[in-house]
Amino acid sequence: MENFKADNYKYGFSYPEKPAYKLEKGLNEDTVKGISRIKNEPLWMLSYRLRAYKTFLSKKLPLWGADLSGLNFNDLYYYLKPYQSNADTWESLPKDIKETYDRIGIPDAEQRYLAGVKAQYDSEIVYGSLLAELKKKGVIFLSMEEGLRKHPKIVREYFGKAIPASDNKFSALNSAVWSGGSFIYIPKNVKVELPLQAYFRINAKKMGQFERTLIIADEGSFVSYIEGCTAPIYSQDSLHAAVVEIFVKKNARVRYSTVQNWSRNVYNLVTKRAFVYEDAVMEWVDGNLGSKITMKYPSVYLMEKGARGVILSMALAGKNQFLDAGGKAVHLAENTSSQIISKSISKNGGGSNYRGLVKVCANAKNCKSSVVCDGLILDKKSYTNTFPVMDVAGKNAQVAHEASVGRVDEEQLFYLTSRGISEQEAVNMLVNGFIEPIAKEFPMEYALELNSLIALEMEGGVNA
Amino acid sequence: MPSKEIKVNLDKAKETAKVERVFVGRKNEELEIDIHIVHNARKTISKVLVKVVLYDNATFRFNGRIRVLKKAHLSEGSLRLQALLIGDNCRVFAEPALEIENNSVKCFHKVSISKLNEEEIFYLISKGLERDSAIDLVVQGFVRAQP
Repeated sequence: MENFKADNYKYGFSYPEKPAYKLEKGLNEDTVKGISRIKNEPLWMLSYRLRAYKTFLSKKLPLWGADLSGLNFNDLYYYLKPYQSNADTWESLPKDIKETYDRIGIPDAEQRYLAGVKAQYDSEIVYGSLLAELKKKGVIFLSMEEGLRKHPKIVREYFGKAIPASDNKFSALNSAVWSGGSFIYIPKNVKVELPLQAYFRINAKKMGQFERTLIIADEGSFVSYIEGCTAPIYSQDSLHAAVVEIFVKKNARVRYSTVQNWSRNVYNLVTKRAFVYEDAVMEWVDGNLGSKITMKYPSVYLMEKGARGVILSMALAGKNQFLDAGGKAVHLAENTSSQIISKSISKNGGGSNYRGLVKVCANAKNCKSSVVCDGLILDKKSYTNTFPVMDVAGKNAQVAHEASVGRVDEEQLFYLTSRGISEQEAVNMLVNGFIEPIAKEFPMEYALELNSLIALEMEGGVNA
Repeated sequence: MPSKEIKVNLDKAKETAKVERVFVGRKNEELEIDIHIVHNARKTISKVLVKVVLYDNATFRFNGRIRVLKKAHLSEGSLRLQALLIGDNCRVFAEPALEIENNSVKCFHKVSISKLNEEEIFYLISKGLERDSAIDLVVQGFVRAQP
């Protein structure tokens, strides 16, 4: 029984559109030129976009993973600018945008937790604020557009280096029509204690979201970034094809956490990759709850000795959802290590998969990797698959992989219900226990949101 | 010539399949095996255990697939791959996939790819063995060990 009805969805509201500028529907070279012109970009970025557009046309849809035949690239809008310019204070934002963010809860979050907030409303970063001390330390936290304008040299040095346009069809699309996203630079030895946060939202019908994020953590630095998104419900399909590139320099550490809760009509096809340098650490913490189809494999490329990558991925797929998630760890240097933990849950006919890669290249000696991918199927209609690939060449490599698939353990369920806990609650507890290694890595506010989102999902109950 | 592909269909209730293979690769040998198990009846059981020892520049490619279809209630499937890489230029490519369509089952797979434990080798050498003999003993232990 599907309890997750449209009218129960607490974020399922939207405001009538009043965009300042909206390009024609569909995608062609003029769309790409139009986007670049609106943003006043330097010539090299326009050329980059146009080359990427050609690459996009030449690439095929992937033959594996989800069924993407329902996507019609010409039936989407590729740019929608909500109003004229960024606001610097909460008060100067237009009313309906403020109300949107009130309902999602940003003011509270900002006051209590966060160093800076960049909020996104349909393709532009609408509001940002950065605490004075971080600015003094030289931390840069801007929209991608502003980053390009104010720090063109840094952007040009890194943009597209981890994920070239040619990587896959959706990174090519993003490279052509990207809009919004964050640009973050943390100077040497600066540690940003409070997490940086951004929200994303697709509002207009048939809107594509193509944010582009670039994070550079210079030597010895630390930053934690949180991305959480919601979108209202529409009957036509929306597309979210983001690209996130992260460069973690020597001895630095970056943690990138996501709670993805797109409404059930969204195609969520994201490319995320981190290049990790000497003795540096990259941690991806990925929670996937929403969308109609998700294909997402956050990756770590361990470029220099001592680098370490951790990928914690969780997916809960309900009715009509197909979540294909996982991670890739590529060991390119000696003494590198990686860890992947993936927890997939399927219910009400949904499908959640783990798809992953551990590759240890021939010159990468003494590497270690451990992968655990577990699947929980809650009822007869649902399914789960795991497709882990190990390609190990380097000398003295130690690679371990474990996967298990099953259902909620009868004995554990009996134990809890015999203590007076209802079956519904007991299943909730067991599901929370199943994902605990990942849920506990989220900052508390997100962990709470995650738990309540899961409880909402689980309200349909377990059908034996 | 041993086959490169093993396909097992478990179509009758309570059928059990056990697949055990040991591979030893030397010099430039390229070894491979595909193992496909399909559970299509209730309470079927599969147990796959593959052990691989690679010397020199040998390579091993493994494609494993346990599929559990809707009718296979209460089935159990397990797949274990253990590889010991001794040579400097060995390579293992493994994709052990699980495709599960029934939620009453218990399935798992475990893969471990490891190198020689130098402490064990040192221990044996300190007891008077040549290095090659020490390695042989360790390899024998690896192959015989029951999971």
